[in-house]
Amino acid sequence: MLSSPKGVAIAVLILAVAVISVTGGALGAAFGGGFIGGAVPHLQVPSELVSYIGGYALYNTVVMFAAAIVVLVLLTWLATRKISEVPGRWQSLMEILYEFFIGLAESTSGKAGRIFIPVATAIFLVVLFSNWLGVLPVVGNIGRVETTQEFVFHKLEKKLEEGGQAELLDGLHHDVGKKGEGLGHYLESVAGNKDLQKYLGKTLDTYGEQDFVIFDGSGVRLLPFGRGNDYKLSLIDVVAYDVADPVHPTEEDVVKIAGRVDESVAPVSTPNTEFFNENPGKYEGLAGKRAGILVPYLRGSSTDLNMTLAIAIFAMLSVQFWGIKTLGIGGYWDKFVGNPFKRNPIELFVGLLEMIGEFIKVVSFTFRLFGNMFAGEILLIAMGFLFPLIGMIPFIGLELFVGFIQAIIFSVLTLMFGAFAIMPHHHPEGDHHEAAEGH
Amino acid sequence: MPDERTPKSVPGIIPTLARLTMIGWFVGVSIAGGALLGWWLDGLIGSAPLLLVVGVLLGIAVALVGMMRMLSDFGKAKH
Repeated sequence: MLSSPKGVAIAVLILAVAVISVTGGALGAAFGGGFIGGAVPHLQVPSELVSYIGGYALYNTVVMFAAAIVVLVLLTWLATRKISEVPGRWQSLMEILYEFFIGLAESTSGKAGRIFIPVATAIFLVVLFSNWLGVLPVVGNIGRVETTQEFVFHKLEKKLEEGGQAELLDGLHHDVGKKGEGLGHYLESVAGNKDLQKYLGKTLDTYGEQDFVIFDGSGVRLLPFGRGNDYKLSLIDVVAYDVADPVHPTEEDVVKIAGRVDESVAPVSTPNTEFFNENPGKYEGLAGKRAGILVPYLRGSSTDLNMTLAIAIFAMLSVQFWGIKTLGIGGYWDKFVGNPFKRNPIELFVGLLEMIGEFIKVVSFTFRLFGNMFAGEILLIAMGFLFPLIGMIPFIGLELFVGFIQAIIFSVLTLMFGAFAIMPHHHPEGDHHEAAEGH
Repeated sequence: MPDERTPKSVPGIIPTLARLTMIGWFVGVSIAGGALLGWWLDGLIGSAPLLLVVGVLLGIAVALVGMMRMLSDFGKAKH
């Protein structure tokens, strides 16, 4: 490769990118580099609210799930548009998939196994595409900036709800609505109300350590590059750096906080916080910028427990349906409990435990997919943070592989549980014998 | 019981992998689920730690029975 000038150029380019990546990321930041490092984004398990459409709350994972469905419909249309004896590219792709599942279904339950194929294939495709779309570069890093103002307001609302203060909450909403400026200056109404101040203190107590990234503006944003993870301020740093006791703010303090919560980073020159003292000069020029949390518009739908739970419930309901359809209600019931008066007590107990096991399977399905995909997302974020530009590349490959494996495991297991569900109940002795062997 | 086999073999590793990971998760979730349920009920009626222990034991029982059932079913389905 190094014999041709082209090869040398490519090698030099790769080397240069590698050097930039290592020195520019978080690792290099420890040695005075870090010029392209970004801040570590805010991570949370529940999906983030993008906006309201009518009264419907649209979450970022839901957007991605819809996108996966659109891609899937498109792909299916491409594959079935011109069905011919000699299949085209898309058609043969779908045929390979179909044949895989048919082979598997028939090898586990013979011809009867064909009833599993629509559901198993659908689960495979849906999970596969929702996993894969979550790896796309635009996912998770473009979004709306949730300002400190919004943040404090929402958390204050939450605290009031938790405290059962419906009246205060209504009053707050009324004040916000009356001013007609969105959230406007809601803290002005807090300033006149002792009870609300108590709850503002509680809010600051709970969420004071929450980190905010400093953005150059509001609206749709990317995480800012080149400032690394140090360009973050906690909520207390932003809004209450000179308040002696943020947990019990006085009326005066609230007015101060109100002024600052209004989207701006605190003046950096303020001398009296440990935070600014420890980092002299570093935060120059940040005064007046906006502190906020990036709320991504897109997030891989498999990183939402609701989505994985929904698919798991669907899968296990299908399994029960196949069992009942094939064996009849009585026959299927016989697998678990049967006639409780005729069966010996140990058998009955084991049957009940197996029934609980059916519910455990739903939970196992849910957490396996969610755990794998969420961990993958965090891994990608961590690599992007440590080695920007190239650190993610091998792990994107890994994530594509994991996404594929998880999709296939999900669907294959659905199919296999289906195969077990349609097996009739065996004679107890034989069953125990085989179980012991298997063990 | 499966009565008819297609000669065509499917990639053997994937179903095996799926089975084994499922058993692992099943055992973990059963025991953790039993423990959590017991702990929660303990909190409700103030009987700590009785129901926690019962929950863990029940979880272990569910895990064992489920694991044995899955292994035997998988054994049957394999050949």
